[in-house]
Amino acid sequence: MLAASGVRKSYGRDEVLRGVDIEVARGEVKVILGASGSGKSTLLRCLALLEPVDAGELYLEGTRLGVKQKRGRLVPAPDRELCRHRSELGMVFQRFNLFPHLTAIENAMVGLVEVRGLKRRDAREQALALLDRVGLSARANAYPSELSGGQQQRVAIARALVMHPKVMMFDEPTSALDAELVREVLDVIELLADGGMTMVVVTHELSFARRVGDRVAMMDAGVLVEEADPDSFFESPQHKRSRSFLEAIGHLDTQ
Amino acid sequence: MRKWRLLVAVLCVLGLSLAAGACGDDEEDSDAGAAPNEAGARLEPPRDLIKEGTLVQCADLSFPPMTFEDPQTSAPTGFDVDAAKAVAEAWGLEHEVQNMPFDGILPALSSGRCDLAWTGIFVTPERLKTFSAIPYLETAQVIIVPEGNPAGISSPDDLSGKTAATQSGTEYVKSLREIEPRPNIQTYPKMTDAIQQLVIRRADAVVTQDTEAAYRSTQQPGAFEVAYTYADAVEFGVYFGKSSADMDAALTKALRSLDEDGTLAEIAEQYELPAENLLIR
Amino acid sequence: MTFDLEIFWDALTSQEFLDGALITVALAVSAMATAIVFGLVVAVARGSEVAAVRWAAATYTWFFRAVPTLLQILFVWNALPQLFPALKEDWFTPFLAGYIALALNEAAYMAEITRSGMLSIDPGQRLAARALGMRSWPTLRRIIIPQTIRVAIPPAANEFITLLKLTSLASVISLQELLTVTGQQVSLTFRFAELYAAATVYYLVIVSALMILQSRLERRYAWSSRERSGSILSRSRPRLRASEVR
Repeated sequence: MLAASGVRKSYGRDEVLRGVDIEVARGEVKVILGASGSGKSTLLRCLALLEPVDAGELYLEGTRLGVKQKRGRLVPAPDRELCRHRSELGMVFQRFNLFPHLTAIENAMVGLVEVRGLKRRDAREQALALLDRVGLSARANAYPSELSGGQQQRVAIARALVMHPKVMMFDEPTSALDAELVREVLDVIELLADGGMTMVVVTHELSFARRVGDRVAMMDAGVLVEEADPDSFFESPQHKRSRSFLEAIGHLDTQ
Repeated sequence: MRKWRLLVAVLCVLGLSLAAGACGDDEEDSDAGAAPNEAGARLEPPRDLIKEGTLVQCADLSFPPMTFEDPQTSAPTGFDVDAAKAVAEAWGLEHEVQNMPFDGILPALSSGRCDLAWTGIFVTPERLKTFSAIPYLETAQVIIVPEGNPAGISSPDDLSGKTAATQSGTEYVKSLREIEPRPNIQTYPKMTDAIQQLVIRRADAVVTQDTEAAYRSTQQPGAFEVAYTYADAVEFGVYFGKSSADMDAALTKALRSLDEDGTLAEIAEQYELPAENLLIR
Repeated sequence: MTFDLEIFWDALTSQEFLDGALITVALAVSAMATAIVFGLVVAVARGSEVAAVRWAAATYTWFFRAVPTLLQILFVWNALPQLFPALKEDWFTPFLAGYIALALNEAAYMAEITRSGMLSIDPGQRLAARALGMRSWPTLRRIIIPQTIRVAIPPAANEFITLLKLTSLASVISLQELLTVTGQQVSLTFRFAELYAAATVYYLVIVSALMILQSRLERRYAWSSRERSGSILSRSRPRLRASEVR
């Protein structure tokens, strides 16, 4: 479904991604782990076409993203095409990034109206259905400032889902939440995974990763150092970086 | 450290002298020392001057030849300024001019910022309700137009449907408003602004005083001509507060004296004003 | 001479004062409306990807804030006709000239206010809009501008009040605005206290109306369920929505 090879990205002189190869199959839940500064969030953004890459190729369902063929040569894709692809790649941010001047339902609707050109009535219907799915139809008319963090993040998930994305990406979706609110968000994400959604999740919630993830990938210093199924990864990590990471957060499974 | 202190000291001196210089902007002092007039004995000045030993005159220095600024030195000059200076001299006083736009002159007189408002002000019944005035010069209102009179103005009624400019706050505005149907009246802070609109041909005519027209035509010969002279002549008057009964007597005496000894006629000649228009009673 | 209430009242209700006040308000409102829109354009242009556009916008705000407003008014009235003689015709009224000068002048200040409002918006907002696939113009229209408006309301109201008083500068190009009319009446009757008081009342009324409008506008942009009342002209009353009544 989603593939990237040789991705490089620098911010100024800071090389954040040093040649990353990654593949996500349809229906797969890929969890990306790593210390802060390892480049995991940047990788996610590049995959979602929110940041341009300096080198490397990105593919969605076999189509090369970000460039197009023009008279036998490769040129940067026009903005219209990029935006279309972006709308097919759902993104949920650590800090929710809800639109404060729109209610929950309006937040969920805005993508359908402005990007897909739906009539407001149809958009509202679909948005309401999705808010219901994440358990917030009762708060449809509330503004983000009136919702708890967990509720806001669930609205953000609904907002991304309503676009019927091919892939959903989560950038540390619960890192900004108080402990007691984490559960409700993880439950929603798990529900999505069970439903067969292709997902890439950057998270620190290791038990969640183990339970819900299909593959676990470890990022360190801009490179993907290890990838394995969750049990193998957590029980016997191969790479020394994986080992030191798991040790550092006290999760080395000695069972 | 020492360099800084020197710098600060220099800056302070600079700042102080600038402030002192700026204070002198509106007020121009004439020569000190009062010489008795040619008739011999010095005349008695009025009491309650707002500034001890000085005659303060309010004027709008944009109305030549009555009150304006000397083009070279920017010092106040004009018939009214020189005549007031002569009166001050006769009284043994210093002389000072407070410059301000015309529609602020009488308010300033009212609020006690000057002893006399002497700046080409007409004597009118409305003004005499609030102030006292001594007439000194006869003059007529005129309509001036660009050279060649392109709009063919020959009377005030011809201004209907045309654009006429003049100075705001003046009697000229009133007389323009009396024309039926009303012309497009534009009022500007200074008479020079109004005349400028005439020169650039936005205004078809300007209503002003014969004195001003005469002076401007010496400055810009051939730029405009007088299209009409209003029949009812008016008088320029020196205005002062009703409460200063002293001023009336003293000023009348001083003006008579200066008229008799020919000082006023001399000044009039200097500004190309006909001496026969002087009317000191 | 003391304060004569009858003279005060006559002046307050006189046609001249009313006309003067109407011209003042009309000039301020029209110039401000244009300045808000044009200022927005310039503010957006400051962030353009095209360097020439960025440069043009920056030059605009530099120039029109540097030149004194009075000079700009005089320039439009006196200097432009020198270059374009058609501007001497009657159709180019002092009001029109004043409007052009004040709108251009104020737009530069509004551009900076708008730009500062945009800077204050969390970058995550643009990011989220992008992630949904929204393009530049819809993002600006639906996400950035509403949030900018909220921040810009108090300084914009300030600017309007300043602009209202700046209209009196147009007296130098013969516009019969409120202050000019007052001065003319004073020069005829010398009743300073009564006439100045009447003029003051007009200014107070205008600014008070603005402040009411401002507070309504701020409430509308407070983004809270309690304040949702639709039109800013209607009274803000808490309304129960069906979903909140269970």
